[in-house]
Amino acid sequence: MDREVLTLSGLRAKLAENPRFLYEYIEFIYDVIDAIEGKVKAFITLRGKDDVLREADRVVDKLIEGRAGRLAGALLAVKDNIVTKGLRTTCASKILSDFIPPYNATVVERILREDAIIIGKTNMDEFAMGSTTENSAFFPTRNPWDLSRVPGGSSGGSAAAVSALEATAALGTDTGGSVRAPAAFTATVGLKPTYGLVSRYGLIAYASSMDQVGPIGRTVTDVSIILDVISGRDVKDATSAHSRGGYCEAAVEPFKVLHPKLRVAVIEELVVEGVEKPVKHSFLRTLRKLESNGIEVVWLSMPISRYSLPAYYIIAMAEASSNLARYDGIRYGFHESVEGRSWYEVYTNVRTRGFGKEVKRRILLGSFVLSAGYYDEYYLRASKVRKIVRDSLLAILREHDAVISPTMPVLPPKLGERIADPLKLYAIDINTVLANLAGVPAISIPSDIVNDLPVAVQLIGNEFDEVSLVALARVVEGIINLAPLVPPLVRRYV
Amino acid sequence: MRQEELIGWLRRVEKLALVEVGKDEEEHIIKDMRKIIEFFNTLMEVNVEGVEPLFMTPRKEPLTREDVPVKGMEQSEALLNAKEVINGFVKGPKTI
Amino acid sequence: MYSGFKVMIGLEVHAQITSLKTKLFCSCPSNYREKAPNTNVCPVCLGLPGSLPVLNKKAIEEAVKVALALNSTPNKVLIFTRKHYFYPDLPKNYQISQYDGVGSAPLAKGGYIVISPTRGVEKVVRIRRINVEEDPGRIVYPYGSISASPYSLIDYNRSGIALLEIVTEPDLESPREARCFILKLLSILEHLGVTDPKLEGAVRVDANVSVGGGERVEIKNIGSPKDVEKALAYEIARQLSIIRSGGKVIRETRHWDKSKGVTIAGRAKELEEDYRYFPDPDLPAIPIDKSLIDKLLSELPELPDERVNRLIQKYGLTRYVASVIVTSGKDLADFFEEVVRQCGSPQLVSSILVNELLRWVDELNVDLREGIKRLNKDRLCKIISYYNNNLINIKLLKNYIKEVIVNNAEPEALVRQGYVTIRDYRVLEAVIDEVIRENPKAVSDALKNPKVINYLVGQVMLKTKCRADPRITNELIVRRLRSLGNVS
Repeated sequence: MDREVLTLSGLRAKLAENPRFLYEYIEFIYDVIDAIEGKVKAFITLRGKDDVLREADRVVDKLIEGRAGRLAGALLAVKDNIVTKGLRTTCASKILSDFIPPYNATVVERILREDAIIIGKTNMDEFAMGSTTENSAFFPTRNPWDLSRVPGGSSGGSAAAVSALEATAALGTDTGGSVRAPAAFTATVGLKPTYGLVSRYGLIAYASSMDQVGPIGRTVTDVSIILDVISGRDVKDATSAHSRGGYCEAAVEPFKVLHPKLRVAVIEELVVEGVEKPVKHSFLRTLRKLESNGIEVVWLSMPISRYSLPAYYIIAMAEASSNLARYDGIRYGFHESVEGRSWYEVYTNVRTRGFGKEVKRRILLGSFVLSAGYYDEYYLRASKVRKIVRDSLLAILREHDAVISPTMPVLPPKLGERIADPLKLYAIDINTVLANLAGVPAISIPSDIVNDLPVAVQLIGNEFDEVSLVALARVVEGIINLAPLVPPLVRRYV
Repeated sequence: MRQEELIGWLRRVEKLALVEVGKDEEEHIIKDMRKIIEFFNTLMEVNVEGVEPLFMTPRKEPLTREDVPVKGMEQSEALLNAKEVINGFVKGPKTI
Repeated sequence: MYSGFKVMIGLEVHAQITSLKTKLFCSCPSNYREKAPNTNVCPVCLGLPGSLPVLNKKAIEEAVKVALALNSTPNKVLIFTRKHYFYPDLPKNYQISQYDGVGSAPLAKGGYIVISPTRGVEKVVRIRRINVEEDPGRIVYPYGSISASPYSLIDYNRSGIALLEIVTEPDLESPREARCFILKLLSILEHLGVTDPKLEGAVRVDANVSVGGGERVEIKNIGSPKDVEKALAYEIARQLSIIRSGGKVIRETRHWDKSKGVTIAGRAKELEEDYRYFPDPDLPAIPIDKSLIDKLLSELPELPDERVNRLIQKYGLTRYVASVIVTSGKDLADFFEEVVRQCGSPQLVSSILVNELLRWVDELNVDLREGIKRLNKDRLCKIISYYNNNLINIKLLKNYIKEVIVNNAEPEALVRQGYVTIRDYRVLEAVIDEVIRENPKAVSDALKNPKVINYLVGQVMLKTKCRADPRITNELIVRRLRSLGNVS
């Protein structure tokens, strides 16, 4: 497989010359899947090659006729908390293990309309609760860079699939870092849009005030192509907003939208505390590269950022406990016979047996922080801290083009390393939750390989200004000059 | 929080959420919960006086819908995932 | 007061916004009645994973109109709250509603309705708050009752329909006042065009009642104003008997069993309901600004109180008659005005509607609308013209009305059958002779006591099926008796 078709933009160029190349491309992807999926386990549901080849006929015809969509040729992996009509959608949970949605999420409608082919549904932490994909009720996904390590989470399957060449790109979801964390751990690019830029209709809710669908790809340009397609107002989502569009153009010609004197801010609390030495040193090296390329780096302090993690978890767990109340096995999902039994008994059994440990923990804690007598102390207080976080971050973004930080404070942990102690697990979200609380966009770009493991930087931008964020990300990606990165596991296929 | 207090609220919250913790898991869960609640309690250090809570980042133009009917799902789609159905009704448990 | 004990009643009235064509948060049609189960649903109102609510724009206007009509103050923004509880008819196991607390607010607070529980007496009933919320689905019990069925059957067609919840302060002091309040409220909603109270299930009432300052008991889900009065009467009696025998009333929720006419205890509450309210993150706050309020105020239609006053002024009706006409239903008040516009005689028309139409509709147990349809404008005007032209007398008029409503008869047909006032002296005298022959005792009584003549007139009426002109009959009988008296 040529390096040039590793990216979506490269693939599109090739298909423009030779539409029938798509069949070769599909064969290649499935060859890789056959070879390594058994080890990586990125997918919960993988579509058969024959189905995909049949769908490809239609796309090839459209390519030949010159009326193909912007994603024609792309084999996209979709995280299994995004509903796909007729295709099993499980949220990696026992409680939805046989759920067949009768409708498509809006983002799915949009990518299909642009002629993408969905190759499968990817593994995740159950109901998106986790940062390593070890909380899946079915099996953990492994990091293609080191199979004894986690790929990050909760969109671990999506990131692993892209990283291991099992898909062209993927859709993930990000509530507290779940697109950026696995992107960082797998040397792929992951973007969390401004809250509301992408429709949540069909995204199975975890924390409604923070959830967003985000693209994962091998380059900033690839991610921006997908963002163009999925973003924009949806009449089915009251929280969705208009999209300026033009993200791909911004990535391709960043200096058309950026001014020449770029200035980024480093929030010292996100670097100084709790960041592993190798990650910190790599980050400082990256900063020096940026400075020597004319980007000004300013260090400042944002004391409230220390409290963003507890505030995030209180709010996320509260909203999760509410969003997961609907799972009782009556209309869909894990079922217990109802005859002769009280609803109290049936519901409790279904929910106790159907949900995994971490999910149950968050539901219980979430109910606690919303309960009478504790609401003010926890949920209300956390929402006030959220306001302070947002105001502080927006103030910084008014004076700087972006905030830059290591995406993750650690190298990809080994399986089992973080999962035993919940606080140890929650702690690795420290740098990512800020953007979710504030509702602003953020992107993770691979910045280094340290001890053969991926390290990434995160750029946080101003709300609804993905155009500038993507442009700046492209510039930084250019300076770092590593993309697209291919893990040793699949290097021989390129 | 004392151990009895924690167990007390665990029982209460189990009833609110209809999710139960098995007796064998109970000790472990309580330990974790205690740590997590202490972690939450660090927010007490923040001065939030005069701060308005932020429940959702503000929408410039809130979206509403025109009052025009649209056909929803067929009965077969609606009941596709229901495991017990009688004459088009979803079978549910007793309500007392 | 009930035997010296103070009674306090507060009501929560749930009224569907039936003027909407779709549900509150999705585009499913709002006419869910008579449809096969689970055929009027979509991912949103079924609570499927990934679904999201989007507010019906028209619902905002309808709800604010109601707040203004009830003198209630709308909140500056419309915010929705999640109210959490588990129940099979609630697809998300939370209801999107409103709450009076931090970060949330009801649609409107305060307000009042003036009722007239007895003639000449006026009472102000305060409103605490008005909410907009979604209706749950419907549970059907396969073996009739909740206790006899080992499982429930759920139909989600109704799930998501827009509801207004109107909560009063406990200002009501008797079952009768409660009924009056509900009738007045429904009349206002009907005149606004927001709720059609005649639709099945469109109105449900929860009542809270305490006696003698004791604990309050909630009675849930009562279907009609009449039932509310009955349920409250029963419950007050129940509480009184407990108090009198030295016991204490416990705070609980009870259900009204319509067939048995009693309230029965519901599930014992081990845990105080903790709804874990928090603002719904899927629904951004909608501003309710002054321009909207001003626009709606200027567009408010004539409300019941105004209409009653206008009917009194314009047609010279008494307050009582005007109130009955307006409160019985907007249809009736509209009908009254249409008929009077066409054929005048407002006093007569109002009397017919209040005394005859309502009576027969009640006895036959048919819908008022059906009664109006049968006794339509043309038929009623014909009947009135027959009366005004002396073709029929007042007794015949009443029978005509009855025939039209009960048997759907055409007034012209009745005339053709000869069902008109008999004025012909010869015909009448023949009947009178018969009557006199058959009632010798009454005749001799009548010669002594003129009042007995009424009995004889009555007999003539009977024989002529009320067609005899009473005045002429009376005269003829008097003449006959005089001649008889002269003979003997």
